[in-house]
Amino acid sequence: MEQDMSNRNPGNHWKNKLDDVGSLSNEIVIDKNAAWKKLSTRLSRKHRRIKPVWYWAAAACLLFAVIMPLYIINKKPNDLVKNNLPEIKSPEVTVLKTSPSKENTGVIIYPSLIDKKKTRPHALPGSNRTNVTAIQKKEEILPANINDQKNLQYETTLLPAVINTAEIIAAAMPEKKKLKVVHINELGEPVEETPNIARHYERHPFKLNFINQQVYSGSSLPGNKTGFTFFKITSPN
Amino acid sequence: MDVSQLVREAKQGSEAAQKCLFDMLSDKMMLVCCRYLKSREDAEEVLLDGFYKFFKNISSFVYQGEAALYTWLKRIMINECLMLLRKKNVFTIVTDAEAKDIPLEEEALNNLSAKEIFDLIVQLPVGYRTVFNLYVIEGMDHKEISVLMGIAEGTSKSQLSKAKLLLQKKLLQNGTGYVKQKSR
Repeated sequence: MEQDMSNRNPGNHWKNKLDDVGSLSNEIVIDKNAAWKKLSTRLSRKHRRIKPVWYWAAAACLLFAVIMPLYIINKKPNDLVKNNLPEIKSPEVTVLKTSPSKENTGVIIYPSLIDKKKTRPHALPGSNRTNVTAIQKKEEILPANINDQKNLQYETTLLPAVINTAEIIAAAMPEKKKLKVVHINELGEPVEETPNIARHYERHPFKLNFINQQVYSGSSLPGNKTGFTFFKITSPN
Repeated sequence: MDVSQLVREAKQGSEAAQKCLFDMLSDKMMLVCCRYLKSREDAEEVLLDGFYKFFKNISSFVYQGEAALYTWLKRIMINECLMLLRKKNVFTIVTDAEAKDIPLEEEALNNLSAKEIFDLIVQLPVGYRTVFNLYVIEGMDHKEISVLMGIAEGTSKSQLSKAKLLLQKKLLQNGTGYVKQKSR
């Protein structure tokens, strides 16, 4: 404890001496006016501290506004191109409508190939769409060996990945005839037709030979429209 | 003008009162800063930072006398000095030496002037100097010092003993010189 006090005592002695500014005036070389100016400007700056919040908020908004379009463009460039292009009528439908009776069986239409045409309509200037856009492929599609890389590559280049069967079916189906809608009063008087099996002028005389050798002849009566008359011609007795 | 009135006016935002307080206390505070920091530019910077914090938080200060004001401001300055030293990463002290309690020679100390003491302290390496200042001059214990400096308590003790050893050497050299000067 005494030792501790002995350690502290010189500290107090030094402390008293070090607090004496007069004896250490040479050590303190400070331009008070300049220092005060700096300090007062810093103190007066406290009112402007609100500004940086708005500044950073505005900067963040600006950054967001710049980055978002770039992000969207980078993410879906094809979609944007598609949206900007004018809508083109489905080509395969127009072809089949104009000539439904032609050999449509076995026609395979590849929508993805048609889509390529859609994206580059200016590639075929002046061409008739109805003639160009339908693509017929009569080659047989053979099952490809997965291990054969060459075959696989060939197939992938020639055939599109997805064939829209719904579109194909819709294209192959002949257009439905629309029936004319007529009001019942416009049909006129209903035509009465006799329920006769055969009309009078269609009746012919005939003979019936039975096993007991009786023979009957049948003929239509000129006045009777509805029936036949049978006559017994011969009998075995 | 009375210090209490100055403090009151400074609390109300009077720039004149703030300037008066600055003029009154800046020399003392500069001395404190110079004891902790070798560089004069750093000391000036810390002085301004300390006064800035002082004026900013003066509204929360309850005036209880001039000594209390001085102690409060001094504490702010010391904290600012330690923050700067920590920022400059000078407290990376690694020591495993056992701390030995070395008593300083009182006779030699009594003969030293304020300037000689100041020069002795400033000559110490930064780690020794900080621990010596906090322990011997400010009267803190090793626990407080370890928290303030972010070092272990044992490290603080060993730094202090090393600082004292170094000071003994310097005191002996200066003491001989002092004796020689007196004999002439």
